[in-house]
Amino acid sequence: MQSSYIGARVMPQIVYHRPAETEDALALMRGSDPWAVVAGCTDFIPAVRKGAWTYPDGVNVIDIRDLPGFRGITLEQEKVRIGAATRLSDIVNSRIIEHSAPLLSEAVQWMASLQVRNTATLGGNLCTASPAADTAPPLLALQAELEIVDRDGGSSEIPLSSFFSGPGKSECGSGKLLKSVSFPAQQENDRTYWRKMGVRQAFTISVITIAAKAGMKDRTCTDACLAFGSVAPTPMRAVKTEELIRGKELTPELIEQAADLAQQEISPISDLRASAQYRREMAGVLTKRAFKGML
Amino acid sequence: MEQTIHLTVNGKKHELQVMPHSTLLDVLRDQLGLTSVRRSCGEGACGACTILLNNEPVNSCLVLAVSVSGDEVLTSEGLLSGEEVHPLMQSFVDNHGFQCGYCTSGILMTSYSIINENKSLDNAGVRKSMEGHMCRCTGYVNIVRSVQAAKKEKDAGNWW
Repeated sequence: MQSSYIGARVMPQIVYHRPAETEDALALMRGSDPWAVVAGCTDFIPAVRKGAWTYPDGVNVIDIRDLPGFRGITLEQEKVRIGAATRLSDIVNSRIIEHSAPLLSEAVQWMASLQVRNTATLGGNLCTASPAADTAPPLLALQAELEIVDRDGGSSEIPLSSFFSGPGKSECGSGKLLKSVSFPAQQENDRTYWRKMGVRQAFTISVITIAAKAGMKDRTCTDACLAFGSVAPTPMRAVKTEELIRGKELTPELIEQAADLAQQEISPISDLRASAQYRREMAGVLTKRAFKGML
Repeated sequence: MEQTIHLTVNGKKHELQVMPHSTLLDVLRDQLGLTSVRRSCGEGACGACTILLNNEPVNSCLVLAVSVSGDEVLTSEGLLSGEEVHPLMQSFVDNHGFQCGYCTSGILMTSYSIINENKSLDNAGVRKSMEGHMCRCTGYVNIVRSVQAAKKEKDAGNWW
């Protein structure tokens, strides 16, 4: 029986694959057309229903949640590793993340809803490559590296900051798999700040998100990472602003300059959630709050 | 085209023939007749189709049925004990936790989960857990009361 929804399209014909080995998944991707890699399906199902992703002749759905090494959270040698098919709720409930990456823990807690977090995965959020992807700003601020498996099974590491290439576009668009995300555990001198602004507090799409991490020695910022969501075609790092404050004492004047520079670095648009002007204004406000909070 | 899956629903094992594009919502409603699982937004925004999958609340409209073979599902029908209404349901009746009732069976499942999991049940805690549910009637105040009153029933031993 094919159920239909008022105002929504019916699901396309699907052939469902659940490979147990990475090589099987890659073979399916090489040998079938079209295909879609899924894990939680919380983006896939709404996207095909709305017609954002269309498969008029059906689609091979390749569910990668059982692939070895694609799930779980570990901490080894001060490095946190999260498998791409790890669910958001597993990140929220992880003691490792709570202790070693409170920035990510807080951001994911305020992401989607309880039900969606119980299904959706970290890798899915990154590979959908929304400019508003909630896991991206904290992971950019944490200088995350991604383990990517290419078509032939070879593995490489790339920084998250070079993963996104446009709205809905990423390194994983063309037959590669995101296997895991890793980043250094938070150090004693690290200070972090995260804020997501939406049209309401819970279960909302970001109007602007800021995530910042700075190594602090007294009032001097020894290292700084500043990331934004929903203010550019992709989640982004404000590298010029980072450079401006790196190695300097965080004076009120410097924080003002950083806020001005961050406002110039972003390229927001107006959409149904907020105007570009509002987003730019808030980028300044949030940058100031972030660095004032580190003192 | 159809695939065989095994699903334990409300304690009963089923072998089902499902289409690969069918959601868990489709299968529960159309093949098993569990109409407490409400079809509404179809994209995980409203929470009306919430069920417990392996004891965790999920939107059944966002789950492909073929992907959960071997798993356990609980719907609000499964909270009944014979003809007897579950203390959680009675609490929603006593505290006016619903009006039209469309969202209620989903809200019951999240409530059942957070009470059993000992999540924070103060005002902010219940509201945070209910972030994935929309209720257009109650304004949520009586939903929070209903959940808190149900927790007292559980603590008093009136629970299953």
